[in-house]
Amino acid sequence: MALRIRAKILRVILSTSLGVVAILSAAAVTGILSMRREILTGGGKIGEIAYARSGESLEEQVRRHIAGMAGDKADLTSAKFRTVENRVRMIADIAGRIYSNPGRYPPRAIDYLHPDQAGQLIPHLSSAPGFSLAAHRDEVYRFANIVDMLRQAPGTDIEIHLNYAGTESGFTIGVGYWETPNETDYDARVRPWYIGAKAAGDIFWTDAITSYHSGVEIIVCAMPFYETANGMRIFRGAAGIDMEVSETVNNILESAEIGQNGYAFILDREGRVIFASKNGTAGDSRNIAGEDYLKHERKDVRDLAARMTRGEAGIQKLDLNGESVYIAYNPLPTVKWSLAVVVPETEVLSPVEENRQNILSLTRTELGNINREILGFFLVIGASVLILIGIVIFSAGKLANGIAAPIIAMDRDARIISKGNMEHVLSVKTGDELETLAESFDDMIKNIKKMSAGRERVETELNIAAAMQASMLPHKFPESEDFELYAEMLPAREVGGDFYDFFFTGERRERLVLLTADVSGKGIPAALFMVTARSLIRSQAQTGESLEQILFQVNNQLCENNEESMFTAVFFCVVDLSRGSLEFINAGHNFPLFARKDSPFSFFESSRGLPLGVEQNVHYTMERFFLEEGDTLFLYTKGMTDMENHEGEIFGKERLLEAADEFRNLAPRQFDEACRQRLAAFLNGAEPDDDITTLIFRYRGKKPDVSRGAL
Amino acid sequence: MESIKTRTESGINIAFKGRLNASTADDALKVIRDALDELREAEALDLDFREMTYLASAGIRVLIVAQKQISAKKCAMMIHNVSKDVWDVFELTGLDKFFDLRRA
Repeated sequence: MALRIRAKILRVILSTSLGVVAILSAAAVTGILSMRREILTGGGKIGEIAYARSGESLEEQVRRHIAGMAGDKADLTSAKFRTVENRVRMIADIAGRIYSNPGRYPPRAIDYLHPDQAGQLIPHLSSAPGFSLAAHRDEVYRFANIVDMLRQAPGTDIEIHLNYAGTESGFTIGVGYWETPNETDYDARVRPWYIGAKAAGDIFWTDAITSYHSGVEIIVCAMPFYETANGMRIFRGAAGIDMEVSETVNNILESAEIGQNGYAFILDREGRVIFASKNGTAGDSRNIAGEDYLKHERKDVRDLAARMTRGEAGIQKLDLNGESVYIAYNPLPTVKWSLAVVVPETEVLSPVEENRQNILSLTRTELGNINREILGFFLVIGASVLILIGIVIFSAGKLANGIAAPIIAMDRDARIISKGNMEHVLSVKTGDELETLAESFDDMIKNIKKMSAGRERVETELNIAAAMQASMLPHKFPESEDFELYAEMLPAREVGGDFYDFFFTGERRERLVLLTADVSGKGIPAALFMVTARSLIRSQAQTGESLEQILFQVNNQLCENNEESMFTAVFFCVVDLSRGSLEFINAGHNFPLFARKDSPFSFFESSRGLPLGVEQNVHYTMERFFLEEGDTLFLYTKGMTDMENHEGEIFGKERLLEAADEFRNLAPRQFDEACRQRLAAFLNGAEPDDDITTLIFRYRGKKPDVSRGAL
Repeated sequence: MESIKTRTESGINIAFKGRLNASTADDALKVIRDALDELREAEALDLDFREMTYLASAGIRVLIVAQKQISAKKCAMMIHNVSKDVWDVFELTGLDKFFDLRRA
């Protein structure tokens, strides 16, 4: 029981505390986790945003860089081309002057190039097939003055191979390097640059064409010149400067720093790639030179080519030759080409990606730190919770013990007291309600002690009363030759309501009154009623009235003030020793046993009246018969027959009859004892719950002359 | 000792069960007195002793009290279903004529 109290207290405290701890922990953990989630997503976002921002800005930078590069290259190239143009203009100007004012220019000898002179920078003559130097010597020699002009250019710029001026007459004078002179079948008039310049009437740039002389790809910048005479302009020829494409463009492009894999290319006015830089691995690996981008299989490339050939500038991202690239393009207006700078996206984005990786790894590191922090926090929380639980269990245990221990002690003390040790005192010194309870309990025990002392006193007094009651009954049995008499009243537990009585009346004390009575109920009321009834009967009997009158009077007196309706059954009889008769009245009493000498007992079944005290003015009927020698009258109250043994069997009249017959030859006292023993044996330890009163009278015969002894 | 009180057309019926002795007499007396308070003039109090197993003199005293008060109230009391053993007790005490008894 006590363990259960302790367990209950423990359970309540523990569940409450643990509940609180669990809720707080859950709140903390939830908060931390949501914070962590927030940080994780936030961190990730920050990384992504930083990445996107840096990507954007980097890309923008790269775009600007590429576009700037393309623009610079274009400008540079254009400037170079303009230089060439100016030079051509100057050559043409001089050529025009020579033709317009031949007189001012003395003839200068000039000849076809001698094979020995190959590779040397020597002015030389070449002419169309069928051209006769002899026929045009004056014209040729005067025009040879152009050489001074022509001589200025080649060699200073590596890309300029050859300056020359071709005439309508069919000869051409040039200064430059060439390796395979073939000067006698060169007709400038059919060359594209000549035709172009003549048609344009101004500066004309050819597309890339194959050099007549060297066979390499060249572009030619040409300018027509005219003889001016009398306000008339007569076309006389065209000046030209050869530029080797590869050299030119290389000079333009190779200085370009276009990253590791970037390259540049130039698109001519036909949309053909006339050159792709060799700079960078991509440029080498791709041989795009000669590709016609206007006829490219991809539309975006065709569109790009169209924009480029239209002379637009721009930058865009597109898929070129299976690679995503940024391409910036700018026109080269002099030659109507377009220069493009190509940078693979990977290269553009590599710093962006690097940046992203940096940010992400930074974020990851940061998140890792946060995770570690959170883990540490959880460990701290867990440890705190464990310590807290330990403290709670410890203090709850102490508290539970503090509450339960005095209860256990009180329980133990109460058990000791309940076993009858009323002197035991509960000693609980907790200083709280339990101590008060223990004190109240002690007070209660004290009161119980007082009460039980009182009760013991009452019991003692009742026992004394019972003894007194028993002692009130006569114990000195008269010695007589006429009869033998014995009577006994054994109260059950306390004072009872049974009594017997015998006394003599009559002038000569010849009348022996015998009676047994059974008062209803037990205890003091019954005892008092019994005393009253006995005194009334004794005094009334002394009047010498008839038995009927005696009981009539006694009954009426008992009925007066009998609020409790007490009553008593009486077998009231008078033996007239002088006559040898027996008169009796049965007032509600059980039937006595009666036996003649040498005959078995039988019940004395007379008529019966009401017990005394029930109702007033009851008339009793007396009966009378004569006694014979050896007659035995056995009066007994119902305690003798009605008591039960442990099996719930009552002793009963038959067993009493049997016993009486068995012991009929014994003297009254011994007879009584034997019958009582028989009853006791039957009860076999069952406690008597009723008084047992017996009276045995044996008549010895009529001896009229015998004098009576004193009672 | 148990008792069941029921109101009938003619009055009140109390059925007793068990032993009516010194220890149960007071309870029985209370039950009967309560019934007597309810009882109107000329009504009858019926006591059913079918399940009465034992009647002691203290129990008889209760019945005498009841009988006297019933008579004073000009009502009637009848004891029904009196077993042989209980009847013997009445007879033994000569009270079989004092009460209005009916055998079981």
